[in-house]
Amino acid sequence: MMQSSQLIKLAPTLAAGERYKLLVTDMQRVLGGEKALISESEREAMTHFQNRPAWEEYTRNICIMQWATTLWAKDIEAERLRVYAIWLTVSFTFERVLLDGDNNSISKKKRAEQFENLKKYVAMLERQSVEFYAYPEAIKKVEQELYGTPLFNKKKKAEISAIYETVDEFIDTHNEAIQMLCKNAVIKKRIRPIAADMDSYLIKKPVPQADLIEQIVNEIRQIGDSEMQMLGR
Amino acid sequence: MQAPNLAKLAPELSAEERYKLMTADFMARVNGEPQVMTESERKAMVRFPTTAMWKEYATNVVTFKFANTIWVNEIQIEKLRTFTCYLLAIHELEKIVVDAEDELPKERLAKQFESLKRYVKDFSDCLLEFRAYRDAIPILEKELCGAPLFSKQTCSFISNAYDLVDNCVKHYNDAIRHFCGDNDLKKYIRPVLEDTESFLVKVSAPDPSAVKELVDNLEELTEAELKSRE
Repeated sequence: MMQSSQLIKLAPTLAAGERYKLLVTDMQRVLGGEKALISESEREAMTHFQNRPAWEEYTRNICIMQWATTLWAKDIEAERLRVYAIWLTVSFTFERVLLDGDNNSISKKKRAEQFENLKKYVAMLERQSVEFYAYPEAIKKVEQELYGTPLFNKKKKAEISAIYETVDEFIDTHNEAIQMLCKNAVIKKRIRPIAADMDSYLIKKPVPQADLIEQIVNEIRQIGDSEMQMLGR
Repeated sequence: MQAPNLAKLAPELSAEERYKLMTADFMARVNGEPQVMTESERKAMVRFPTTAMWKEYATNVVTFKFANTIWVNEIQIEKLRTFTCYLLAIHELEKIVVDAEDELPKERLAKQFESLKRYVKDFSDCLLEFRAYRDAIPILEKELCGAPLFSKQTCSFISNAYDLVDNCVKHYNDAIRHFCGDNDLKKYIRPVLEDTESFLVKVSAPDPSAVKELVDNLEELTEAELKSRE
């Protein structure tokens, strides 16, 4: 490990990116419950810039990092809840389709409506999940821009992964149920529209869209820029 | 009347006046209206004679920014949480009513009523947290020199979120009251009749201390943010 005085001496020669990497990595260690490796005086030396462009580069990136970590974790939770609400609707509608499978008193029109609704909700879920699945790509993009430094500490990263695993499970549960029931000769007859057009009833995970990812990243950049403008930084 | 030259006027303005003008300028941009200030005026506004004055101004700006990002996000999350509670509760109630004539085993029936009661409790709890934000907004606005916190678009988003949730609560509670008054159904939903209160979503005013906590948390966050940037 480098001695304290060495880092203080070295600080003026370091580029904005190098300072960012060192300080943010250390800050994440502290947030993760580990001991800081950089002392207060070293931090002061690292945040003291000789020229304005280097200071602006560093400050802007810190702004982006702080807004991304604060807002994206919440955005992901909001997107998860949106997907979950639609998934509940899909699953309640599917349940009704199955329960009414041997209900002869239900009119043909109403029965057809049930299948149409299920198809509609599946499509809605696919549309809604596009944004949800764009966030991991946006995180990667910003991390790349921020000199490859991870945005989140290990704990937060694990929490975010768990959210994605849960949604993957929702989708797998639905798809497996559809596939399994369509293989069952008795049930298949009761859910004929699904068996005939299974693809429309299966939830497909979206391919991340480059323009949406760019839009998510841009929103964060704009928040960072407007903060710097309003604070006169 | 000619607009005053804010760049010349800026040095005489207090931190509070500068905050009001800068947020009005920001709001105009967000609302798609012509901006109040020019770039040079904006620059003059954020040039402060003392650090203390800058800090007073920056505290308001950072709190304003946090409210516009974190609170809006949290209102969205609370709305969605409350909405999923509604979906679960209304679905469970639907199951109870649909299954009413099927003579399900007593144990299974009891489980359905217990589930409904649990969902209703979650629904009431989420609702309380969600409504706390609505009460916190005017408090924070008052603390931030009385300037509006949100743009027209955000105000409309927030108002729609509360309308949606109010409608969900009304729909669910009306359904419970309707079933309790239906003579054909009454016998099937006896646990609801015997303890109606537990099956109704409670619409009560948020605890003032919970509201204050929201404001305090945001202000603490602001303080930490400014400290980290000193």
